[in-house]
Formats: sequence, structure tokens, C-alpha cells
Amino acid sequence: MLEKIGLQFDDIVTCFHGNSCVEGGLALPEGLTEDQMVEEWDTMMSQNSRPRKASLLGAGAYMHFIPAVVPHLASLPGFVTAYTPYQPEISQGTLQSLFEFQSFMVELTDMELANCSMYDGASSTAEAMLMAHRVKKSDRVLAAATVSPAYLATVRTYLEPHGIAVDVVRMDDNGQLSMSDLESQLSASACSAVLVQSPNYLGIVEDLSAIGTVVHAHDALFVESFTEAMALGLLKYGVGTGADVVVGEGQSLGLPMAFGGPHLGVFATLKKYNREFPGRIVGESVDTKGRPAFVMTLRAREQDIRREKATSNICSNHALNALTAAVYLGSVGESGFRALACENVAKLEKLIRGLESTGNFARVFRQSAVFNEAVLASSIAPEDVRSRLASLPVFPPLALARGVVPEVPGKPHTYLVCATEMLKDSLLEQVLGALS
Amino acid sequence: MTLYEKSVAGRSAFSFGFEEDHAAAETCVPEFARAAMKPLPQVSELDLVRHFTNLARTNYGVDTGFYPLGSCTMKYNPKINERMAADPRLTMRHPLDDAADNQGVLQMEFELKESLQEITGMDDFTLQPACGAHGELTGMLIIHAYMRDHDAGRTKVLIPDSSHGTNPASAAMAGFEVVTVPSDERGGVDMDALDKLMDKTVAAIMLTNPNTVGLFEENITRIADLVHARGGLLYYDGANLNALMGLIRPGDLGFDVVHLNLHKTFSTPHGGGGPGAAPVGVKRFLADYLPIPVVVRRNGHYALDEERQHTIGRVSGFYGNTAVLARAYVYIRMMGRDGLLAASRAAVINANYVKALLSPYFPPAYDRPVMHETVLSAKGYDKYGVTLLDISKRLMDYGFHPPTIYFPHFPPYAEEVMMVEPTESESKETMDAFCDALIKISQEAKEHPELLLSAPHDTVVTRVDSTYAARHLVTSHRDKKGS
Repeated sequence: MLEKIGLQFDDIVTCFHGNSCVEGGLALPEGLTEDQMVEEWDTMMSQNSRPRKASLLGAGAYMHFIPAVVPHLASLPGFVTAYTPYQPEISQGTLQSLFEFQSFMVELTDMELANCSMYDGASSTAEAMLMAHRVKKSDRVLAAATVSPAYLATVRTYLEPHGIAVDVVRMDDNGQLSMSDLESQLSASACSAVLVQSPNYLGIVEDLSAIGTVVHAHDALFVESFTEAMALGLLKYGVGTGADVVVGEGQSLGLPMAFGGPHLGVFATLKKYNREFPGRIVGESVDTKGRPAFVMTLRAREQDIRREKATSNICSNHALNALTAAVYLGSVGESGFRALACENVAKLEKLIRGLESTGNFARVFRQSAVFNEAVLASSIAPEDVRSRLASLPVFPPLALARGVVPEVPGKPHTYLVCATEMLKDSLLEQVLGALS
Repeated sequence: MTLYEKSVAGRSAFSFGFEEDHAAAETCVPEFARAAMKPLPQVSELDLVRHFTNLARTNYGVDTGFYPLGSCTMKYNPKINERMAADPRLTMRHPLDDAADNQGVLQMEFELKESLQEITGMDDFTLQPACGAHGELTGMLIIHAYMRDHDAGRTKVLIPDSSHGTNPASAAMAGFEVVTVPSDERGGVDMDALDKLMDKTVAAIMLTNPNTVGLFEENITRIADLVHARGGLLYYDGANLNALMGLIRPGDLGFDVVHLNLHKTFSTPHGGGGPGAAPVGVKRFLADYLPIPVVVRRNGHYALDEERQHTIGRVSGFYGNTAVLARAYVYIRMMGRDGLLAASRAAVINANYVKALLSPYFPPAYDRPVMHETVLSAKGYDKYGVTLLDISKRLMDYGFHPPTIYFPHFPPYAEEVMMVEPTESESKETMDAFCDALIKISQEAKEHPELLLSAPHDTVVTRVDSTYAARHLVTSHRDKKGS
């Protein structure tokens, strides 16, 4: 080969012009064989605590059951080892799977158009706020205090360099967004968008329809966000609640928690914003023989064409995870997804009742509807909760910092407690026993 | 046919067998609940399996054949990476669980960070960004925050005309005004133009090195000296690092911020458009600006550091794409010091080999040895009535994925260029077969142009009409039904 090239390797790298080359090689260990690698990996991973069967810990990542068929189909090499489908004739598999994902998202969010994924719920939410700013131009947005802290922080990171102020709308006594504070903040000065998460960070379902009405009376965009996609099976979002954008985290749709990623950003909006939304989208077209065929469309918004004037810099997204979500929803199907959502509500209800009956826990915001997470006050301190649950295969709940929610007398510690279909009754009983 | 079109009421691929009566659950959130479930497909498990298995068969991947997509580094994705990344001891970890219970996964991340520091010559890394553009945004936000603290008048970013579109888009998203720097006649940064543009309003220059035409930036040291002397910083887009591992390090060349595409250089699969991962490395003076949290080691224990005084904040919900990071970790550990160097050498030799074979038919944009990829021109085939697009579609009939086409688009190569990146994974025989096909197609262009114009012939669909898709917007099943 070098003969054909007519140069030696050293001739090729004369272009370095004596620039500081790596002397004596990189200070990295020698390579491993596959069996050595497996051995070393095993030693390292055994440093993690043993696997858990359920999780009382949610707060943005949820443990749900993943049918075997999901990872099997999502691991097919035709999907895994392909690039972005720039050449539609040899990428119909990716393109159609993403079209199906978009279709499911349109239905579940009740919006008109969904892109084929963003990185995660947090970045998707931040992009929605940037889009609202492009549409409305006001350098101010509002966000509910009950939005997940990590999402709110990401929104701030994305908006800060553009000089967009993020003003926070207070929480009311029910753990929901304060309607009176929303009204007064909207009346105070113009804003591009209002961001509300439901179920919110404290697990409470927000009254999206009521909020939507107020937001639209003040000519802002209404951005609905979610961290728990399972709630899409039961709760109302989208057009019916006045949403302009519905964004959120799709990890619950067949993806493992994987210590935080890769997860799945969902982004759905209205058709009137089809020149403004970020990210890729697949459309149905025809081939030269008139057969239906899929292709990436509305491309004129994207960075490879518009460069600095693009609606976003996003290029690669989380396509394989979108495909995974499509397989998952195809697997559980219409009735299964609804049943799962209901099972989550029922399981949390059961857990709350059980915990309250121990006398050590009391629900905070008890008038408010919840999905699969709720705030409980307790007399037991976080270290104690951890050690009592240590022998059980369950992640302990998230201890909230003081001041996040109002204190309950005699129960100074507060927890965000999650229950999903993974918490089988026998394990639930053991949890209750440990916390009695 | 889509799954919706295969749906039959009452079928299901999965049963949970809940014993609960869920009427109670639905009434607990009555006012906010949907009246009814939104329609999802109802198919059996076997239907589902066949549906997606057959879709996967219509896709072309690295496992199918040669994928010389320039700038995308479609190298082989080792299967051991997949096995390790699917370890339930990793996939079943909750990100908010106590660090003491996650020492294994944190160790993996910390060691990956150390390896990337060594490979690039940088001092600290965040592993959070989800892909290249996210890494660019993170890096540019770091520069934006640093300049805000030190030299607030620097509001512009210089970007060569040869750059990938994400560079200007990311700079703009980080709040900068983008100024384009022209290329010189050798394909590098035009030094005279840079000299004129580099003033005290400029925060940084974003460079890819080797650049998008596969050429090493010969003047890199002069560029670094000039930009630094005038108060600017250097950003390194690591899209093309595959040419340099073990040979030269961006940190040693003067770059202050670096992002890497683990789904390119470090062998993690691209998944038909992601997820990838793009760690961002910085020099010491910027380490305090990294997004939180940062993986650290303290007294032999691994932890997530939330205390960075000048942090740009958070860029994602948690800590990045851990399962992708795991694949890159396995790749680096198995390749080791010598393996990484050998990979870059082979990537460079392979690109020059393909260039040598194809030059008589598709002249290179620049007559210089290239690094890991080569830009070749199909200019002149228009006299036979065919375009580069026709040539690339015809390649599919020969069983190859086309190279990147119509990129880069900067003068004088705005048209009819293809960017070929064979990567180190490919054998001489594979590259010979690919070049033979292209040479044969160049003959067909003269003798049977209709073969190119109607290509591809052997794919599940023929050419797809993108104009039709944009004019008759159907992006969901609901659009299809017209409801």
C-alpha cells in the first residue's frame, strides 16, 4: 500500500513540521485481550453495590420493567452500526422506525408534530425555551419552582449567554405552581414562555389546562415538561391543555437508567412552529416508482445547511433510543401502557398507605394528585432509612434538602418516594417492615 | 407498512398480569386524566419481532459493509463493547443513588477521563455532553463564561469556512457572533485573513485538525501563538482526532478546550444518529468552569464534585451517556498505548491509499498527502450528464455506502466533492473493491449514464423525493390518516 502511495508514513506526517509530537508514546497501559478485559471489568463493576429489584428513588430516572424483546430488537446491527440516515435508499429501517416513534409521541403528547429525539429531558426542555424565545423575542421566561432542579439548571445554562432572564413562579401550599404568582408575574412584564412540569419534581400533577388558559391570555408560549414518560399513559398533555410545546424524558419507555444515560429527549410541538423547532424529523415521501418511502425533512432549519442561523446546533441525537421507545410502545401496546400507568398510581398509593400506617411517615400535600412519586415527611433520618433498607434489593428514596417543602411537626425529614410496577407486593411488605 | 397499519384490536405483545383493579387508580387523578388511552398499535410479539427485524435488514451499517463516510469515522464497533455496556451492574444503576454504592461505575468514568487527558494533553474533562454538537456548545459556554469574567468585550468567534455546520451553530447558541475565516490555497487557515480578523473583540477560534478536507493545519503553532498573543483562546473540534492518537496532542499544540466524539474515534456505534458521547477537555485555568458534577477521586474514593466555583452549570439531567462512555473505556483499555497509535497510523495510510487509487479518476482537492480522509472531486462528469449524487447512488448497487458528498462547501470546492474516510478497520481488499467500483462507475458515466441516473436499482426503495416530503408534510401516522 505504501508503494502505491509512493511515500513512507514519516513522509506523510512531515506536515506536522516538527510540532511537538508525542515522545516515547502515550502514558497508557498496554492493551488487553478480550478475556483479560472481561476479568478486569468484572472486578471493577463488583465495586458497585449489588443489583436492585425496585427503586423508591425516582426524581428523573425510573426503574421499569423492560420486556426482553426490546433490547433484542434495538440491538440489531442494522440499526446499531448505521450512521444518520442521510442516504434514504439504504436507511429505510432507521427512517421508518423514527417515523413510528414520532407517531407515538404525537399521540401520547397530543401534539401535532414530534421530532425524532433530543439528548434528554433536560436539554430538550432548554431547547423548548430557546425556541419560545425565537418565536416571542422577549428576553424573559418564567419557570415553575416545582420544575426539577436539574432541568431548571440546564435551562439557565442554555439561556444565560443570550441574556434571557429566568424568573421563578412560586409553589403554593398544595405543592403546585401558584396561580396567583403566575398571574402577577405575567402581568408584570412580557415573557416568551412559561415552563411547567407535570408531574412536577415533588410528584404532583399540575393543573395544566388552568395554567394554559392564563399563559395564553398573556401571549406567552406554554411549555409542558415531564420527567416520567409513564405518566403519558394516564394524564392529559398537549393541545387539550393549551400547550405550545411538550418536552420531556423518555427513559421510562424501555430504556435502562444506566447511571444517567443515554436517555431520550422528547420534543413535540404545533405545526405552526415547523420552521422553528430544533432537531431532526422524518417525513413520508415517495420513491421514483411512487412507492412510499421515508426521508429526513424540514432540513432547512438545521446546522449543516443554516450554520449559525440554524434553529439549534443539534446534529446527532438519540435516534437508537427513540427506536427503542418505539419498540417498547409497540410491545406493551395500547392497553398495556394504560395498565402500566394505572399500576404505577396504584402501587404508590399502596406504598403511601403502608408507610403512613407505620406512624413514621406522613404524606405532605395530601390534597394533591400524584402519579408515581410523592413527598413524605418522616421521623427517620436519611442515614437510618439507608441502613434499614440496606439488606433489601431496593434503592432508598431521595432525601429532600430542608426548606424544599413545609416542615411537618415531629417529622423533620422529608423524602421524595417513588413506586413503580417493579415494587412487587412481597418486596413492598419487606420495605414496610424495615421502616416500621 | 407501519406498526399502526399492522395493528389488530385486542392483540398484545406483552402481558403484565396485574391483579389490581385499576378503577381506583384512574379516579385518583380524575380531573387530569385522559378520557381514553391514545391509540397505540396492537400487535403480537412475533409480529413486532418480524416488523423490526425486517426494518433492520433494509438498513446499511458498518456490520453490513464498507462505510467510508468522511468526517464520521465509521470504524468497526467491537462487540465486546456492547457486552460490557449491557452489564446490569451498570445499566441498573440509579444515577442519584449514593456514590459509595457506585464506586465501580465512577472508577470507570474516572479512568476514562484520565485516559482522554493523556491522549489529548488536556488537564481535566467533563464526560457529560451527549454528542459532538453538545460538546461544542459546552466548550463554547465555558469560553463564554471565562471571557465574561476576564474580558467581556470579546463577543466574536472565528471559524474557518471549511468547518462543519455545527461549529458556527454551537458558537451562536453559546451567545457568540460568528466570523468566517477563509482558507488559503493549500487548504489551511488563511494567515493574512486571520491576522486582520484576530482583534480584541474575538474570544476564540474553533478549529478541526486535521480539518474537514483531511489536511493537517500546517500553521497550527503560528495560529496558536497569534490567537493567544491577542488574548483569544483555541477550541479544538475533535471530530478528526482519529488521525492523531499517539502521534500528536491538541493540548500540546496550544488548544485550550477540546471535545472528542467517542462515537467516532473511540468506536462506540452511531446507532443511526446517536446516542454518542462527547467529553470536553480543558486546560487547568478553565477547569473551574466545567459543568457540574465532575467525576473526581478523593482519598482513593470516587465522587461527583458539585463544587466548581465558576461552573457554567448543568448541561444535562444527570452525568452524561454512561453506557456510551463504558464502550469507549473498553475500547481504550483493549487497544492500549500501542493499539491506539497503530489505529491512527493505519487510518492515515488507508486514506492515502484510497486517494492514490482514485486520483486519476477523481482528482484530489489538494495535491498533498492527507491524514485520515481525502476530498476528491467529481467535477467534469457533468459533461456526461451525471452528477456526484448519481455516482454516489450507483455505489449502492455495488454494495457500498457512499462517501460524504457535497461537503465541505467552501470555494473553490463548493461543488461535486466527496469526502472519503476508510478508517483503520478496513482491509486492503475491501478498499480495492470499493475503488474498483468507483472506477467502474466512472466508466459507466461515459458509456451508460442512464445506469447512474436511475440508480440505485437494488435497494428496497429507489431515489426518495425530498421535495415531495417537504411540500406534503407527513411526519406522523396522524398526518397520514389526515386527521
